[in-house]
Formats: sequence, C-alpha cells, structure tokens
Amino acid sequence: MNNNIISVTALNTVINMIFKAEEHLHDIQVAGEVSGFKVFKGHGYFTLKDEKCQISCTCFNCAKTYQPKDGESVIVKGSVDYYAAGGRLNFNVDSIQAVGKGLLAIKLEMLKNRLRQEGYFDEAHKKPIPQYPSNICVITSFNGAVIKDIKRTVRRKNDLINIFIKDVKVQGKDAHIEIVDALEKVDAMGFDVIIIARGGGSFEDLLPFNEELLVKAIYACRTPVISAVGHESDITLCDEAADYRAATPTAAAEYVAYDVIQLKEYVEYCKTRVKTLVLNKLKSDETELRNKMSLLISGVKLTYQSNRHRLDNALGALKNSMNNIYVSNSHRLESVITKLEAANPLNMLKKGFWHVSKDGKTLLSVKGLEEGTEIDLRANDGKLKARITEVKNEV
Amino acid sequence: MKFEDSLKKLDAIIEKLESGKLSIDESIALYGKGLELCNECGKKLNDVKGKIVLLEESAEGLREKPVEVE
Repeated sequence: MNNNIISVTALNTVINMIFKAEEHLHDIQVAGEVSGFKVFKGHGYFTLKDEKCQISCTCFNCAKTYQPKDGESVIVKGSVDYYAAGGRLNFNVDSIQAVGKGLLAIKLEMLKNRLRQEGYFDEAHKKPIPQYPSNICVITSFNGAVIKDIKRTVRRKNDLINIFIKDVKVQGKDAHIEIVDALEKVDAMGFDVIIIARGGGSFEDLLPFNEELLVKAIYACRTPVISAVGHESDITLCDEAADYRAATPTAAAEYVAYDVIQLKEYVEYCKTRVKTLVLNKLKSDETELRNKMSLLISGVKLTYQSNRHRLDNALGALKNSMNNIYVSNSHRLESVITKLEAANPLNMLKKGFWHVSKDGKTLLSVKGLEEGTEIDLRANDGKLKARITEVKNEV
Repeated sequence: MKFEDSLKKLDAIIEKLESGKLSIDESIALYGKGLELCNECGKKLNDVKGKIVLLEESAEGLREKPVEVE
C-alpha cells in the first residue's frame, strides 16, 4: 500500500489524467437507449442505458444534432469526460444518431399487441363510468401533488363525493405489485369508480403502468376503472386496459365530479316541469270538460228551442182549433137563437094570436070543452079569464 | 335508491307526462311520485357532505382513516 496521503483534488486530477490519456474513451461511438432526455439552456441532458448499465450524457448545443425521445435507441459519438470538481463521470456527446425504437419500447409494443389480441383492451369489455358517483377510490401516492389536484378539482364543483385514497408506490421496481394488490383490495369494497393516478414522468418512471400483471388486474376488476397516468402524450398499457382513459389526473377528477349546483338546478327544473305538466293536463282536461258542458248545454238549448217551436205550433194549432170550434159553435148558437127567437110564442102573441089554456094546459082542441067552462087567455100585453059560450066542432 | 337511479326515474316520469297520453288519475299519481323523487334528490344534494378518507392496511384488511388534503 502506498503510504502517501493525497488531497481529493490530487486524486481527481489523477483520475482526470487517466481518462484523458485513455484513447478508448475519446472519439468513440456508443449504442444505447435514451432515457430522461431534457433540454436546458440549449444543452441536452440524458441517460444512455442498456439492460445492465447506464451513463449520464451531456450534449452541448444539442440543436446541432438529432434530439431523441425517451426509450429510443441511439448511437452517440463523443468522449468520456471526468469532471474533477464534482467528481462525476460524464459522456460528452458531439452527435446523436437514431437507430429506431429502443429495446424496451419494442418489448412494450410486442406486449401491447399480444394483450390486445388476447382481448384485454376490448371495448366490449369496458364498463360504463357512473355519471353520479358517491364513493370514488384513488390509487396513487398520498404524498404526491396528484391527490391534491384531484381533491381540489373534485371539490371545486362537488362537495358530496367521498374520496377514498389508497396510498401506493407509483414508480420503482415493485410498484406495479403494490398497485395490483391495492386494486384487488379496493375492488372488493364496492366503490362506484376507481382512479389509478400518477403524475408525469420519464418512460422508466411509468414502467409500472406498463406491466402485464396490472393490465390483467384491471381487466378482472368489477368496479369501473379510470386510468390517469402521466401527461396526455404518455399512453400506458394501464390506459389501454382501463374502462376510461383520462389524459391527466386532473382530467380524471373533472370527469367523475358532477356539478352539484347544476344538478340542484336540474332537480328544481324537474320539480317545476312535473308541476307544469300536470297542471297543464288538469287545465286541458278542465277546458275539455267545459267544452263538453258547453256542447251539452247548447244541445239542450237546441232541443228545447226545437221542441218549443213544436210546442208553439201545437199550442197555435190548439188555439186555432179552439177558436174554430168557438167560431163554429158561435154561428150555430146564433142560428139556434134565431130559430129559438123565431119559435118564441110571445112573438106570435105580438102578431095577435092568443094563447088559450085551461088549468095550465094549452088547449089545442075544442074537444072536451063545453059551454060555461072557464078558460085562461093570454095576449101580448096581458091575461084574462073567459067563459065558453058556444062550442062548435068546425072552423 | 342510488342518486343516478332516482334521476333516471324522474326523467322517465317527465317523459311519460310529456307524452300527453295519460289519464288524469295517472298524471296525478306520477305527479306525486315525481315530487317525491325531486325532494329525495334535493335532500341528497343538500344534506350530505363528502369526506376524504385514507385506506390504511391493517390485520383486518383496509381500515378507514379520515384525513385532510390541502
């Protein structure tokens, strides 16, 4: 062992010298998969990785070369650089060349195709999301910003929905196992809807949401599941399998939270509508009834008038008939009177005839009369008693 | 009855009333039912206050713990 004690600066200087002297580390080409590509002040920063190892890369003035997406396989040209002050190793990239999709991305694409063929993303299997959920369960990290965004968005228009939170790891190696376990447990609790949520992240960060196990667990769920993972451009297998894919956790909250004020207004509208409809029905029935009554009254009036006419006619006829009877009888009476008057014996007396009677009986013959018999004589203007002096049987 | 079901029934009642094919007795019966549903829905919208609950692991399964979320 070398007993010399050196400073950190001395050590890092030595390391730097070694790296600079090593030809194999300069102007070389390295193949790998890009992860976490970011541009800051014109420089590109990312990690280049394969299945076992990774290295940090910096591309100064990255506009000069191809800018890869996360998960993309590339070949980078440049040199290994040791940053002595920070004690960090970095690969300084001069240029980047795309070589198609990265291995992980290819594997994911193959998995997606297989699961699709097996029916795990079938639209027919998807359950409808209830329009007015009472109890929602959010599977996410309790400490992240996501749950706050969801709560704020839901409460902005809805203070009725109960929000249940199942805290889970949302990134890392075994995160998907935790999410699957949570999903199975909360599915048994009978929530109206389950939201699986996570904020944006790199391709690797979202890997738990691209696991076959999670896809199958979502497929097996009895509760409708909304997937709200990453940003709008990140589409995971979790999104594909869920009953509804929200572009972001906030969008998911917006989707499930119905507007309570609007709903209250709608219920009031329904109340008024029901009243109005029944009132209209009553009014329309009343009008119909009135119309019928009016028709009935008109009918009765018509019948009455028509019968009155007939009655008047009958009365007229009766009157005429009575009149005729009266007139006709009146003529007859006059004629009888005339005849009676003509036959009045008093009229005969006026003409000089005398009425002769004996003991109140008119004497129509001389038979039985004898001389000396007293008889009664009546003239127009008086009566007298006379005695028969002679009876002759001839006129 | 779930809120969603109540609203569906209410919509169905209005639709029936709007059809104009009901007798006055049927209309009045639906009026009663409709108002009852409106009051029920109104009560649900006014009376309940939603809670926020954290589901914690326990030996008996998931346990509810009310929490505040800012």
